[in-house]
Amino acid sequence: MASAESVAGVQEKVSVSESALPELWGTMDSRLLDELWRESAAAEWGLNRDEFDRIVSAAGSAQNFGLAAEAEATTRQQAAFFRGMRLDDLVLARACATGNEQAWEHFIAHHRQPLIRAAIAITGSETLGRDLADQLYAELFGLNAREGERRCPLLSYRGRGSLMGWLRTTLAQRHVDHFRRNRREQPLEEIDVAAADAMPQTPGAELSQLERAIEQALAERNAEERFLLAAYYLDGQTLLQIARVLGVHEATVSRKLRRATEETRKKVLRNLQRSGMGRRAAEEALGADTRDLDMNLKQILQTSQAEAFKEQAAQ
Amino acid sequence: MNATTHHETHPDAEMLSAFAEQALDASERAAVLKHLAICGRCREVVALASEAAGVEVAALRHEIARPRKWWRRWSLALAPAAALAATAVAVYVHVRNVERSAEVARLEQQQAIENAPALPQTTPQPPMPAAARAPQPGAPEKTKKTERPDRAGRPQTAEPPAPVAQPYETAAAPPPEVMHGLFSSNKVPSETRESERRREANEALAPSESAPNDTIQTEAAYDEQRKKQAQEELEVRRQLAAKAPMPGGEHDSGSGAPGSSDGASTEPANVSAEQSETQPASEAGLLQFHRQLRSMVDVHAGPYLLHLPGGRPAVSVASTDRRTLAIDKSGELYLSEDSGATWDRVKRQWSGRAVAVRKHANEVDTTGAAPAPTTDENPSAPGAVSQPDTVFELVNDQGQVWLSADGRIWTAK
Repeated sequence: MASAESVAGVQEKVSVSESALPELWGTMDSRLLDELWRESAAAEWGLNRDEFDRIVSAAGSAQNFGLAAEAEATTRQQAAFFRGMRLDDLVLARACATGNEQAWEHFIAHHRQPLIRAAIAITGSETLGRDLADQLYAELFGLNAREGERRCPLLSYRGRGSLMGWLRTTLAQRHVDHFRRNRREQPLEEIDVAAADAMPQTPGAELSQLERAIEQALAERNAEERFLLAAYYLDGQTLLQIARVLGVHEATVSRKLRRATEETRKKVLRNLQRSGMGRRAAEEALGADTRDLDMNLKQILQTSQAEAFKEQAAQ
Repeated sequence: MNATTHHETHPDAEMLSAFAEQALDASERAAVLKHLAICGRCREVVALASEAAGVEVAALRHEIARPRKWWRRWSLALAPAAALAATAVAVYVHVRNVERSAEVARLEQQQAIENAPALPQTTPQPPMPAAARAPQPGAPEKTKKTERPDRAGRPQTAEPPAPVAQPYETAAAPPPEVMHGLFSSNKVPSETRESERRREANEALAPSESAPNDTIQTEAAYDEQRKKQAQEELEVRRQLAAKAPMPGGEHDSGSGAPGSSDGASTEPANVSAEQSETQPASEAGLLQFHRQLRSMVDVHAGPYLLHLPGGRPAVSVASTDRRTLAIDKSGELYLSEDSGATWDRVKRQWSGRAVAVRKHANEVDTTGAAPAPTTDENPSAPGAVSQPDTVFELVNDQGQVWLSADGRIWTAK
């Protein structure tokens, strides 16, 4: 561990590499701030050095430089934290949130039109898209006040991804939430009434065995396979859409999806055989009409391992 | 992780955005992926955001790779190409015209040379009446000298303005009938015509080497031309020897002074009066015809054979025993003091474009006499371009005349 005095003693070196940073605990090193200031484009939209230091220090402290709450980050960890984030976007967002006019001019010049285009792409309608973008833009500008204080959503941006990606995702969240709220208000005439259930051709005992085997097989799938199965079979997404989300090629998604389906089928057959059903009978049971099954695959997929993210969120 | 709507715990927008941008570490990515496997709402959010990003990227790609309109791509190149093509066509047409005019001039010259021996054998024209042979009242007297001040205000003797000759490039060779008409012309005073005839006869009878050269040509062409001239002079001598002398008053047939009627020749018409008393009329007519032929050869064939430093053909050439002046098609004047071997460009001292250069009329009178006093040693001395020294005239495209004694220093007339 190095003291602050020892750090000040080597101030003459202008360019600071990560390995040259001292082990400074807790506070931000001035040389690190100098280097971050030089690397950032904050000066282009009129941010002064004091504002920059304050924004960066606040962002690092708010996330504890990516460490656990009780951990104390060294200067190297701080440097690694800031180099892993979009510092320019973070500073811009914070400068806009604090009402810096030049930062807003830069934001409007670089993000206003992409924001509108993204909203139109998400809603599939230019009118709805412009309404959605204007609504978010008004919120970003701080027109909404909560308990007498203006709240800017840009304050929740932490620089993990790009600012434009954050804006797109925020738009998509608002659009999906709005759609889900309004879906319950659709008239009954547009809802297809399900046909009356015919007599099941498969015996009830076999159907119950099949339902349990499927539940067990799906529960054993890992997160990626469950995501693929849910996105493809439940949400109806295309291979291209899934590939974009995962950042892989369509062929990769197709290959993984086929393998997940085959593995699930084998697992169901194995589970049926374990329950005392012969191989031929198990294969015949797999050929049963899916409408005879009294199971909700969506519910199964969404309840299995649902606690994983909740546990991490609770931490 | 932030708690969001619907009483559920969802990753916030930044986590989902970072997941789609592959900006999360392995543990964070696995946690988000687990949530996406069970959360239809977040899957939909991520799918919509990713689709919007794809649309944005596609829009940017389309904007970058969008092909321009074909006429926009070629519009910038069309204008220079059209200008270049127009220039090329104009140059081609101009060169063709120049070549054609030169060829026509050569053909006419050749034709005139071929037809020339037959013309003097035609029947002599009857003598013109005295009134017709008298000088015209309005015609200027070419031998009269006038006093006028020079630029410094000093009075100097200057010759009356001579008629401006046409540029050689525009002068056409007269057809045979015009040539025939030259012998019967009565527009020149008889005294002048007589003097001209006598002078021409003396020149024709003199050895060919001593004849003054009006033009400078290349060596091969010059030798060939000199051979032709020698043959023609020999023929003229034979004809003169066969013919009887004619009375001195009937000299009208050979009185075609070049430059006075057709404008094609630059030879002055004032010859000393004492020469007109001893020259027979028929001999003078034949010699005049011979002189006219030589003038045509000089005008139409000579200048084009010169190779001036500017690379352009000469349009007008004049020379004395010591100096030769030539004007090319661009109006530049060149001086040679070694019979055309080397040329010096004369600094521009005149306005407009120089179109013709010729020997001054007064210099002709002194050709056979003592050489004109040179002014090379002191060109700026008073009277350097005075009348006795002036041997060259330069005419610009506006008809204005400049005089020079040495070809280098020019003074407006």
